[in-house]
Amino acid sequence: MSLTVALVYPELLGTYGDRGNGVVLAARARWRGIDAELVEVLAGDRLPAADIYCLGGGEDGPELRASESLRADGTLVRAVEHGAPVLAVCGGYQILGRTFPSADGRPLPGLGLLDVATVKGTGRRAVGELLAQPLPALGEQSGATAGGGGGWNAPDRGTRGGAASAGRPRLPLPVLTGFENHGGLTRLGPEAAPLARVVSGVGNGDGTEGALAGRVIGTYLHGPILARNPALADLLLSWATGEELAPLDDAEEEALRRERIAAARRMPRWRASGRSQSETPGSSGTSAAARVIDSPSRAQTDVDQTAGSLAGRAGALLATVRSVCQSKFWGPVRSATRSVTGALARAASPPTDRPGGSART
Amino acid sequence: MSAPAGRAAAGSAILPPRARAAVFATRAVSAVSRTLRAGSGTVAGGRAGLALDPRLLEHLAAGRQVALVSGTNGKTTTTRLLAVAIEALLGRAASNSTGSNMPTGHVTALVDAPPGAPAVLEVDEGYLPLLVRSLQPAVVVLLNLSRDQLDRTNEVRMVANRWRAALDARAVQTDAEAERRFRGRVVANADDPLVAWAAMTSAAPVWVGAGLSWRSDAVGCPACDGTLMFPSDPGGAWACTCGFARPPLDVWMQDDDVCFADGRRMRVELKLPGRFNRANAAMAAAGAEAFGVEATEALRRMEQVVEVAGRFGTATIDNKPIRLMLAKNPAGWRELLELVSPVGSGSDLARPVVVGINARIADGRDPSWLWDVPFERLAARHVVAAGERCRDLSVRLRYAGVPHETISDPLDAVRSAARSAEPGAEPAVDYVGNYTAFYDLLARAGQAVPGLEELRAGGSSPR
Repeated sequence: MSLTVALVYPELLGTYGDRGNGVVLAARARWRGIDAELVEVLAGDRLPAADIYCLGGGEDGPELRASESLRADGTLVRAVEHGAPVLAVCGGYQILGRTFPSADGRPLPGLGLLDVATVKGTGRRAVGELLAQPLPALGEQSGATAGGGGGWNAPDRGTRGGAASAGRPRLPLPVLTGFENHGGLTRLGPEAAPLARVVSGVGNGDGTEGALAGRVIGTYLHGPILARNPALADLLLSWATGEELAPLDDAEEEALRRERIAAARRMPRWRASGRSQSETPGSSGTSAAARVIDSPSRAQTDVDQTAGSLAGRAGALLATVRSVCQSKFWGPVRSATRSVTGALARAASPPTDRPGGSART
Repeated sequence: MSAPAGRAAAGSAILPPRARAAVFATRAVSAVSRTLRAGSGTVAGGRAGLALDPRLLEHLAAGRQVALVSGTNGKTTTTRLLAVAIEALLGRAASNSTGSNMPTGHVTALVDAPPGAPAVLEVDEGYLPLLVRSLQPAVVVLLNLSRDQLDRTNEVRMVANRWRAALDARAVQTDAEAERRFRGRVVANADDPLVAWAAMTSAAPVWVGAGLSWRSDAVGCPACDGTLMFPSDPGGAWACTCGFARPPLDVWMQDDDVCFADGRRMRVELKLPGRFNRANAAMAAAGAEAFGVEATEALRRMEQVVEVAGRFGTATIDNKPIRLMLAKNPAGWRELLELVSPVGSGSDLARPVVVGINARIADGRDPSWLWDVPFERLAARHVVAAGERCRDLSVRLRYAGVPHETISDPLDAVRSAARSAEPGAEPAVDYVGNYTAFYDLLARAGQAVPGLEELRAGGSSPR
């Protein structure tokens, strides 16, 4: 058996290491004796007939170019009509929807493969660990919807879907872990099901994460998502091959998952408090307005946080006073004063999730 | 090339009282910070100074000739090379030699320098426009732009556009704008289209063919959003159908030589390893010339540099020599892999490689970029995955087909690797860390690097 995985426009939609999804799919197929090939399709080249298509996240300009190229090419839409699985991450997810925002917030037409609409949020970007519990629809999709041709955009699905019901994975899929980094706010229409429910993080912005229609999966999870969630990789492979797949020894992936899930569970409190300042969680997208705001603020923060911070001034004053008092025989006192200054410095330092606000030095 | 007239005429400035108080505070807090060994004082002191006078940088820059170095990779090394050349030929220069590349670090570096001494400063990419406005530098060296710190959200294209706006010598509308306009000279890597885009509207830029090892962030034409065409030859000129193309070069590299458009040509034998360091030296040489130091003289001085803030140096751990390298993003890794995975010789292949990966704020909290690094090239080497995010790395190495073990603590990892090294091999082990993982190992191994504590902390991450 052979399998082709297409990495769609990695130079446009590959900002966040999402090419790894294609690497993971090809490797997990090969480890099971399937002759898998990973094909990188550069913008301007025609999309090949492939068994799985992977799209990653990108910047605003490249995102627009990718959506225009995909529409002109036409292959992806036809492949989906014939039941080909698609994994689209972040910017790739947004352009598969009905609309996605331009750099200045205008709605641009997407490919319409997912019944979702993404708008630019008004709050800060969603940046951080994201943990989401997959919804049952994810498992059932392989047989019923995708194969039965009930999808909103595919009245006449091909034969693959029917075959894939044999490869229906055991439910439920384990919790999804990844790293989100987006400003867009995504609303699901009636013909798309959410992929997962957010446990910790932002996701679509309404408590759900990602979307699913037929065998098209859209998600905000980087990591890459399939490296961190091998069960999802195997679900895509079973959709593509229509076969039950032999289990693999995923000890290293499991160790990574345990660590990241624990890290995500430790974070909700500060992330939530950071978000509460703005009514729309996450948002403003892979889109530029947030960044336009972010960038100058990054440059100013260093000054702001010192000029504006009373704690910083108090610390500086205290430190100056202490320098006068400092003398050699005070040695034993040092360890105590160090811990005090340490605490002061921490108190004076900026909130940890402020984008770019923290000192790199 | 002389200092911008306005600045030079201002003479050795008498600082206003508020700035003098700020200078005093900077010195006092730095001294205290050092005494308490809480750090080298580069950040705390600068913070105190800027708190008292937010315009402190402007005051400190008055009467000085300033060179800035920015870009994603090679900043610290290029800054060091440029500073060495300028110090040898123009006398003591102020420089943030430990890589404290935000305004707090710049304040500390300038406060420490004698009045009127030249300054060579490394600048974080995001801060460059601010520093150009407040310091009015004579020379700005732009190395390259590529993805780094993914969670920071600064698209490289946007950074390029902000650089361009800050360096633009054209259209000035108001007197106030004219006053603040950049009047210095840009030395730019012409092989990087984003850097070329940023520099091309400055006054008489110096174009250096310094190469580009990572093209993935540069294929979209910054002028028309079309697709740039790159030749297969790495030194060849890129171009777009819209007419935007690599400018003609003033300085380029050919084999081991640095060549100048006026016919000068010089063999450069750096002690620092790798093609990318020769490119850094070519950039620094062009920067030195724009600063008033003859380029080949400058290169002679650069040849003597053996390490930069611990990078490319050697640590001794358990009596074994460990080669130390820093790579923090896909572009940097591509360059280092040329050194770490040379084709051929058996002893090189037998040397274990320890890779340390952290994801603190200074590193970027999302290590997804590991999947943009061609670790497949390490398949013949014994690799140890280390650092706080060693598990992300171990999964990446699994899919790259690289045999490896996973030991979180970088010092334990190096010790384990050293035990399996060939007796007498020199170096016995290669250690490559990203930003905080690199300095973590140095600290754990007791290596002295100025400012080490702050480099390690690099803005401690939420835990």
